[in-house]
Amino acid sequence: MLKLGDDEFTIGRSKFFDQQLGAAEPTAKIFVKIIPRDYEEPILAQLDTGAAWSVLDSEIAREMGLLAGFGTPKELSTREGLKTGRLIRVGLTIPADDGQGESLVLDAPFFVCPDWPIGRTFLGYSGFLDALRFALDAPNYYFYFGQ
Amino acid sequence: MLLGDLSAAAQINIPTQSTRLKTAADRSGSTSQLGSSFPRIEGVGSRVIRAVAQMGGPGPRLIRTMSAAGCVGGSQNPNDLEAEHPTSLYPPDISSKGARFQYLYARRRRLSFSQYSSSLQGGRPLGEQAPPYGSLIRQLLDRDQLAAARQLLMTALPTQGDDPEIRALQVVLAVPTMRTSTRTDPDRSREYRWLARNAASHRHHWVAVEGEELVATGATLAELRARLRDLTPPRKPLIHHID
Repeated sequence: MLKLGDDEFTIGRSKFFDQQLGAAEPTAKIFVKIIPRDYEEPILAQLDTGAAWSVLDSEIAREMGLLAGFGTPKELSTREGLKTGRLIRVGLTIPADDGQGESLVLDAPFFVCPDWPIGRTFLGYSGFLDALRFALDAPNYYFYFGQ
Repeated sequence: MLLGDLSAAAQINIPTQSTRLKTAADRSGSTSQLGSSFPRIEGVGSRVIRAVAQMGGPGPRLIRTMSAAGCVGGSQNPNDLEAEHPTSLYPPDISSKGARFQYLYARRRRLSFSQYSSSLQGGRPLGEQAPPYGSLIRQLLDRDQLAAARQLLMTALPTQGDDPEIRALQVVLAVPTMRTSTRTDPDRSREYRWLARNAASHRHHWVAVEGEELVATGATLAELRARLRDLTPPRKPLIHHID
């Protein structure tokens, strides 16, 4: 997909979404597609290099059976105060768009917490983005990814 | 808790950098060897790693450095650690939390000087409980220090790899495993256009969108997915929650 010299830098790309105009927080943010393990439909997760950890939406975590007390206890300081939850491995796919390279299947630590605000899934730096190669072609809304 | 102990102790009796340099220099007659013996490592994470790593790793080096600086051999009461002035037991390392950790641990356990010295030469203090690696690693995680937590975990594995907590941490903190897949997903530009235009009408709901059409909504994800199972749309829709 993208080359760095003669080497492969990324393996695939997908369009990202950044205009959630009607939402409560309408400023532009980068949402990329992921497919959680056992899901067939893609969901949108916010790409956030400023977030220390990746966080999985609480309803998705519940559906995946991740709120049953597995993982390592952790406290996470957030804008909404201190959240007590757990770090747990979550399997997911970053799908490439059709004809735009290959998808990436990985498992990475996510923070899960029963009272996490609904609908907010973040791909944070520690343990997730720091293990990837990624790039943005912002004018064309492409998110490039690789390993 | 342990890190807190260290910090508190540091305020009480850990000599300042200049004091320690001076003390060591007085004994060794030179400060040049100090810097070369212990290269300074910046960053809290690195120092914490160094702290516990030194309990099992470079103990002999610590001993050698202390000896070179005249910090070990000068004890007037070698069997009583409490009788030693703290500065006389510190290695002349201005950045080593490991030495402080070891020293404070020994003081807390009331180890004799010989036991303390032995503990520096390998592994944990004699006859005492294992270092609380799990607790330390979780504290690092609470401080969002993943790299430091991983390094400390590597230190813990040889001696505490059977501990369930350490095993759980090993699973959680492992570097992500990755593989490629040829399964791809359609370009969702049309779905994004729908979201940009219609999000305001569906706030606080989960939506499933395919192309520029709304397939289903739900107040909860479970409700939405139940509807999708009934509808079985030909192409998998994009799911999103609108704040």
